[in-house]
Amino acid sequence: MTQHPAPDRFRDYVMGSLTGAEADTFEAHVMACSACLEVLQDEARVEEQLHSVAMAPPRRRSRRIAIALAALVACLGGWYLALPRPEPTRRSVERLPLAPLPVCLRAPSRCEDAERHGLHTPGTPIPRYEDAAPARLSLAPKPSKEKP
Amino acid sequence: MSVTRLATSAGFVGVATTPDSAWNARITKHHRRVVVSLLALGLDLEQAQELAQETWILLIEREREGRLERIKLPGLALRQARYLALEARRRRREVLPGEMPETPDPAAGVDDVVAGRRDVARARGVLATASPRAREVFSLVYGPRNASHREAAAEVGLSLQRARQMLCELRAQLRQELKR
Repeated sequence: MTQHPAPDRFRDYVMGSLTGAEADTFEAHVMACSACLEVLQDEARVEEQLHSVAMAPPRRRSRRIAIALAALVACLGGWYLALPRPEPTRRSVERLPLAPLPVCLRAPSRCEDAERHGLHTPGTPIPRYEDAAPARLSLAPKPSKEKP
Repeated sequence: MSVTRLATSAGFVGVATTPDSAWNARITKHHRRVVVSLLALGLDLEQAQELAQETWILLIEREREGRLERIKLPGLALRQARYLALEARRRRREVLPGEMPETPDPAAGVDDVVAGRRDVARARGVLATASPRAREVFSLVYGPRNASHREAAAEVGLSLQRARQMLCELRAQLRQELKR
């Protein structure tokens, strides 16, 4: 058997750096030497791994950006929710226009629907419409009742 | 390795009478890669060379018969060679039932050969520390281009010697990292 090839020869063989004659000599030895075959197989595995490293798809940067954006949105949302808010005031409710009171325009004594309109409950005096909402019935100023 | 030599060794007359320069160039460029991939699966050198030759003959035959629409090398040859290796192992099992053949299982070796995600990440870390030219040479030689050292050197603007030196240095670092 010929002398074992130098360690670099195994690398050069798998990388295709040997000349034709050098490769033939190398192959002739490896075919007869199981120890060198193992070294060559090991070198071949490294070579294949390097190919798979170079062929591997590039890292997904877009995914990282999406995760960072989602985290940012979550932080902003939390900050917004944690902001102090003014208590709802009652002023707005108080300023709502009042609904006109139901008023019976007929003379109360004649009003048959006084009870139905909620203007009269049994046992209480019937309110007079002038007393209920005098201002609403007439926008004209009341004549002053000055005694002559 | 030429088409004529392949055809003569396999008794494939059709190719021997009509040597195809395109196939010659393809085989010259990718034959070593096919042999190395079979070696990586645990086959011995003789078996690897035989299967690589068989692979080329099959591909040439299929192409002549019009059964190959696209020839994307070396991927097509690598897949074909791997398939032939599995078939050879299956045949041996049928011939010698109960006896474990000397050849290891090529399918079992695939996981060892292909670098895992962690390996890839570690190797990328090493590549990141290399010079841009070294990285370029590496990706030209080992990447999808599968360029020869000469082609890569010419493309990057380096001498062949310098390109090989860079590649060997980077390869040694990557080897160390992948062997951890």
